[in-house]
Amino acid sequence: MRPIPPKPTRITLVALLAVLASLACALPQLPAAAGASNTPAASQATIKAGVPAGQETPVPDGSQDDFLRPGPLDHLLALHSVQIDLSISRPDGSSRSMQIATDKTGNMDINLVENNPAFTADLPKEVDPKTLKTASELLVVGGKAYLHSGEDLDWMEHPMDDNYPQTLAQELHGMDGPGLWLDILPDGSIQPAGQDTVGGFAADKYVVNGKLENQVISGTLWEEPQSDALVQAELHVPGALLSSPDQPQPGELKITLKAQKVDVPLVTLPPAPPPTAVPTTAP
Amino acid sequence: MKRWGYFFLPVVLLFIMLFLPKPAPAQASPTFSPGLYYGYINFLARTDFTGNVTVQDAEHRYTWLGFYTGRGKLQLRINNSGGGTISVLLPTKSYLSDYYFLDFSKGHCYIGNWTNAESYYFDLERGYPSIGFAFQAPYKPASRGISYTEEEPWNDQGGEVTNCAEVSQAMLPVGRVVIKGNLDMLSTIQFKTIYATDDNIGGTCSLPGWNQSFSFQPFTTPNVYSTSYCQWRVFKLNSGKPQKGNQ
Repeated sequence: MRPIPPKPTRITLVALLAVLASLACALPQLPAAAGASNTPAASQATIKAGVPAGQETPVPDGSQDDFLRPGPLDHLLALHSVQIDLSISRPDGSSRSMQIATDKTGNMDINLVENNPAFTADLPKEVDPKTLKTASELLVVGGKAYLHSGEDLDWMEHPMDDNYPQTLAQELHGMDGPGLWLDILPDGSIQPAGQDTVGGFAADKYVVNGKLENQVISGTLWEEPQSDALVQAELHVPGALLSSPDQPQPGELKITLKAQKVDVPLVTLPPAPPPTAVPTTAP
Repeated sequence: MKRWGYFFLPVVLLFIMLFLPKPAPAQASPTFSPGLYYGYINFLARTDFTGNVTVQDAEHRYTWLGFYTGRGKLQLRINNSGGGTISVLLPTKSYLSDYYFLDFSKGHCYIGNWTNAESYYFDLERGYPSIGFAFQAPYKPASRGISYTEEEPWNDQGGEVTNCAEVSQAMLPVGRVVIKGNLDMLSTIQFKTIYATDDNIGGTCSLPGWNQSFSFQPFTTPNVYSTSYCQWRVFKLNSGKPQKGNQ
């Protein structure tokens, strides 16, 4: 049997179908139904690599500015001649406190105290946990942080961080700061509660009472309207929100913030000690 | 008839190709409800080492304990096609204590150092074509500088031993080198989703390259790098934007 010679039309048709088939294979899968998807993690859809922002399809409201935009906590850090006390106690028994004294020029004297039972649980038997120093002091002058050390005699000549205010701000925007928890509360969870004077600030008072996954985040905020600074806050976050829903953690994360207007003495660095004399030998 | 056959065969093949079940693509279909999610990431990683070596009548023992915590903020922005962006802001703290115990017939010299440090890392609005049940984000805490917030020597000596305190102080810089080296090991966080509803998504996470164990001479015991916990959880914002007055 003599094969039918290919005709241009047949070749074109087959080629067209092949192109269509390729296109069909490249089409995205039909999207799964939107909504609750308590799917187990067994479905391992993995992202292999990120692509630069701006190449994606439109996303919901908000921009990257929302993530790091300056807010009332940043405005608080910008106030001068104030003392800020921030304490955090966590459900696991660990705690952290910071006292930030900012003088009228913006320089800071920061005292940190960190306690975490996990850090001392496995110490060698020769070491008494009580001898461990958990407090430290940083001086921030001109934005640079210096570790006030009794061991390093010329500590004032070696800054630890060239932009500590930014480091501090980032920490306050993390899990230990009130902002994150206020952000995730449903609309209507923060209600005005009149005016008040706290720490020398005339402030607007707000009551926080918001439900998230059947857990209540509660507390009180005071914001100075003039500077838009959060000048006082007490926030209670249930431990259940800090853990998976099937294994809710007892206890709570408690964040307490208190700022007060005080005349903070000027924060300066002491003069560096004179260089150690180098012994010379007689010729 | 044959001519029709030449026409229908490719059509049938096309339909077969279109409707046969196909394997899932590498970039998975959307799984999460589109929207803006805010939440946290929280981890504790550690290093543990204790090694003994006896030389003549002297027993040397080293103990290193390192704790690395991250307590940060996470944002997922899921679009209608299952892709979106991930933002991470992760303040990181390091706590290192290292000890050296020397016991011999005429006395002992115990020295140690505590070194604490702070750093932070953020990566904003990194876009992904698909965000599925496992995803990852960059995390390089050493890249933006490390602030050493505490350095404290410790010593205890007895018997015919002198200069223990001086040795302890001289060893202080070692803590910085170790913390820097350990933070340099971190470059990525991998997220695994354990639960997901319309309102919140969460699960566990890991630090690739961290969990490992190795020995070095002359010790036979391992230096163990482990992750005590790493968890994350994000909640859907019902308004699409943070509430006024927050942050």
